Amino acid sequence: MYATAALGVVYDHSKHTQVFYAGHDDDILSVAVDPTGRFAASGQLGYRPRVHVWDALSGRALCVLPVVHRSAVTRLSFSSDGKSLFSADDGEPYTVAMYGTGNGSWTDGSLRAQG
Amino acid sequence: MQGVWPPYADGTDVNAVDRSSDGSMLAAADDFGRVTLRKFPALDPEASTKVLLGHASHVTNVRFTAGDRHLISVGGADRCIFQWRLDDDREAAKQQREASFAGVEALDEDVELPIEVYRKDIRAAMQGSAPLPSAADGDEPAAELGAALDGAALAALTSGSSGGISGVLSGGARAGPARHADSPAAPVVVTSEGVRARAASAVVSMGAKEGGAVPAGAIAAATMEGTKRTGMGVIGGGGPGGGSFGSSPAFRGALVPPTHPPSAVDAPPSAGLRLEWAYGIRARDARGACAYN
Repeated sequence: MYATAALGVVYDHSKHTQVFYAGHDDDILSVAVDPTGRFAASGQLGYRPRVHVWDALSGRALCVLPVVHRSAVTRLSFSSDGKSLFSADDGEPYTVAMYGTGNGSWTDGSLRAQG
Repeated sequence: MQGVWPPYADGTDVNAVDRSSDGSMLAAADDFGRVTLRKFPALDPEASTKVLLGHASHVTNVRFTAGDRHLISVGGADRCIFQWRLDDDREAAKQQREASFAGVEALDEDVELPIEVYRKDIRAAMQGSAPLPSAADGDEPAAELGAALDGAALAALTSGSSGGISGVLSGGARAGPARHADSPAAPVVVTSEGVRARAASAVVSMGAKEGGAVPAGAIAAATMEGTKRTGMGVIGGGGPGGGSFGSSPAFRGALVPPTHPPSAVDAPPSAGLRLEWAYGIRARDARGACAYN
């Protein structure tokens, strides 16, 4: 899975197919996949960029997380149980955020902590 | 090209246009990361348009493939090549679109769907500019117009075929530009009445938009359109006051509105479009844009 332009792309090597996620409105700089490979997260450039969580198998949007960062989201990582997601940006004031899902399917993703 | 200009365009925002080989659709690439598809002739700026999102920066060129099965668009700073597939089955495209976004109850309003049909009104933007050049001034001989056009048209064609990544797409199938470039001495003379009418129509619209100073690039574009296959988007080159293509008051006397303007088409193009393949990866500056699943 990788990003190009404003698209998240999941490439299936065995079938040579691509699945796209087109919910972003600017360049995607960071992506992450949860340990099961089911949930994908992506972060973009921009003044108030949001992190999007989507289904890595279908490209379906699951949720758009609240605004935390003031500059490009450069890093994303899921926790090992897949129930938390962390993001970091690249500008002053450097900010990290933690998001979580209550039902485990990320349709209810919400902000848990920031700093 | 009349009708492709969004209300906020400054005359340099549309980088390329291409007409499908069956003549029914027109694709345009702009500076806002959008590829738009509309019916041809694109006379009415209010006509419904399909907007294809995915590019993150300006789109430098767009082309239909021979046979109109695909549309290729290339990005500028995002360094991507997108391959869109045209499906005449509108229903299939709709289902695919709905499947992509099913289950999303409330996306934020600033998140746009990948394909949407929209309407824009640029009439307001065009109001208040200079009046159309009068038909009574049209006493310039056609040959003079042609001779004057030659330099601008040639410059436009040349810049089109050497434009970096856009040049990749401009070679090959399209014989039109090469034919002109082979005979630089021959003026681009507008011969048939119909063609002249079309050229004049486009020029008149540009003239109104730019406040009277007609960019030669617009005439070149209109001429190319009139001479059948075209494709290269030189239209944006004019800019306020003519830009790099310059402007000549000699043209202004030759401008006449079209005698039999084609009727505007106010329906979205029937073809569905879906992204089939995206070439490129952001590896230049983003180290976190890749993951294994």
